Amino acid sequence: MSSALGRKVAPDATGGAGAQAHEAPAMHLVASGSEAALQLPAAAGQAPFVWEPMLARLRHGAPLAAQYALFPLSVLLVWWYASGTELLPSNILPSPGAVFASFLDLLHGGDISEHLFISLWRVAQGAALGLVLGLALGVALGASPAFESWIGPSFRILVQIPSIALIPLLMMVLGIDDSLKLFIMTKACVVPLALVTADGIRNIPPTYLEVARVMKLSRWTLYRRVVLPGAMPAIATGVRQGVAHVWVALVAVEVMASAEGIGYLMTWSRQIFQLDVVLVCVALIGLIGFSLDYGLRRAESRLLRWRGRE
Amino acid sequence: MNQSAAFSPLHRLWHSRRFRGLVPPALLLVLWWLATTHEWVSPLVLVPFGQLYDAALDPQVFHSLAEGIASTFGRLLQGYGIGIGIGLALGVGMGLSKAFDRIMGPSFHAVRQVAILAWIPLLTAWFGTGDLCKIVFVAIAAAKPVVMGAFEGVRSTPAQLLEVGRVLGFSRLKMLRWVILPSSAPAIVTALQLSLIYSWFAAIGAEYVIGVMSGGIGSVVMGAQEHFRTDVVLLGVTLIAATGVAMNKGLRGLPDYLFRWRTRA
Repeated sequence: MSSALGRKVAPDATGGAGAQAHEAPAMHLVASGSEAALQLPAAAGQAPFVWEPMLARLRHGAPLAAQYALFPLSVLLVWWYASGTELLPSNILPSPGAVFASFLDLLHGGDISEHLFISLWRVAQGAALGLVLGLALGVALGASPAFESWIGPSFRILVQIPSIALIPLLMMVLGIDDSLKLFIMTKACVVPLALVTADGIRNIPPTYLEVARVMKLSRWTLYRRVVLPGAMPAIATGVRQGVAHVWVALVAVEVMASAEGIGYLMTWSRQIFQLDVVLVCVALIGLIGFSLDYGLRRAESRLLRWRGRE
Repeated sequence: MNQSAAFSPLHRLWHSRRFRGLVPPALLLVLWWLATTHEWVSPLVLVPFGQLYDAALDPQVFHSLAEGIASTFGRLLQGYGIGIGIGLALGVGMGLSKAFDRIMGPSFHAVRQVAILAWIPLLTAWFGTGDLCKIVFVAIAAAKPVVMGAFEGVRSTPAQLLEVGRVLGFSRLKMLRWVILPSSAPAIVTALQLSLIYSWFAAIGAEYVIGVMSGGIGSVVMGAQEHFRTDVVLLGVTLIAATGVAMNKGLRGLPDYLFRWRTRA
């Protein structure tokens, strides 16, 4: 699993989302099989006995597992040693045990799940609004050269300015309530999605459109049967990037200006020097980012399975 | 419109991309002007042009903004330098050696998943709210794209080139110097450039979060926001955004320029 992650990295989108718009969708399918998993069937096919391949697997797998464990384990060891010997005071570096205990504590006390729920609900709202607007803008930009010529240049300037940079200004205009968060999340989602969707529509082979014209398809059928399926891989990538950006943007706003949510829980715990809670929050934020990305990747490869049959 | 008018200058203007691109911002400015002159919104929210003009010419405002930019850039360059150093070592190492990738890869990808600003509370606890904290933060932000770009670049070295190197009996070092690095250089330069712009906005974000006392353009803007100086906020944010856009535009042609030898092949 982790080696599969290592092999498939897309450059992070910081404005130039269009550059990596088209990852080969086939890669998503291949990448889920890790190296060890790929070697297994071959080994099993060669040896008639059950234990022999198992032994070979152990012998082959042990150094591999050691490699995977080396760095995380040494970090854990240093951490454990540094906090255990009071090399650093425990309010600066809480021990691994304390962090785990506070994780369980927060889980049972309901504090963290409450804040987490608020954050996730916000993400759902921001993503919903952002996906609708982003898709609409992307289709308009991609399908209508006139719309592109009026709106495109301004949009491409706006794309280069991350919403985080605009927060102080938006705080004056929108206050620090939910409207600020919704605005920033929506913008974070619209930008990559619209860029990639417009590119996807523009890159539909002209021959397809010609066929559609020859067949005298109605506008609706044209969109439903030609444009949408043609742009689907790009749209799927855009959705994934958009949702990832929503999460990053929400954490940023919550850290900066919020009275609830996981970002707020983190800054507040920092102020009262409960770094164990801060560490739990950091881990959770990473975990959620990863799960969103992973879930959407799975959905994407499932959605685009029909392309493999061509 | 009749046939002869179709080629009139006005018609050409109407259809020129440049003109059309300028229309939305121009409309926005007109709307802004109308809103302030008719006081549709509070001047605290939308500053009249006159006030903005005065603020831009106010030497005190100019001084604090310029000083802020300079101090942010100083930290940006330090953090960026450290970040790309670590990023290149990690990315190239992970790309060259599968074992190294197995050792560092999962940890890197785990850390990568954390939304960047989520590191700030932890970093302020560990490194204080001064320069060091921000430099470390910028370094983390800068390293991320570089690791991924370098890794991808090294990994996608064409197998034929590697084979040529092998046939020529290249040592590992020679292989790296004459085959792998030249082949992955465009990916790495693109990543470095992306990383600079990313770090710029990360540095600003850190200053926003850490707040007024820490120096830098971000904290100047945050300070102005707390004192309801909308004009200064507007100037500062425009300056920040324009710097980012200018860096983006200025560096865009760089990879093509540096690697024009590649297209001749």
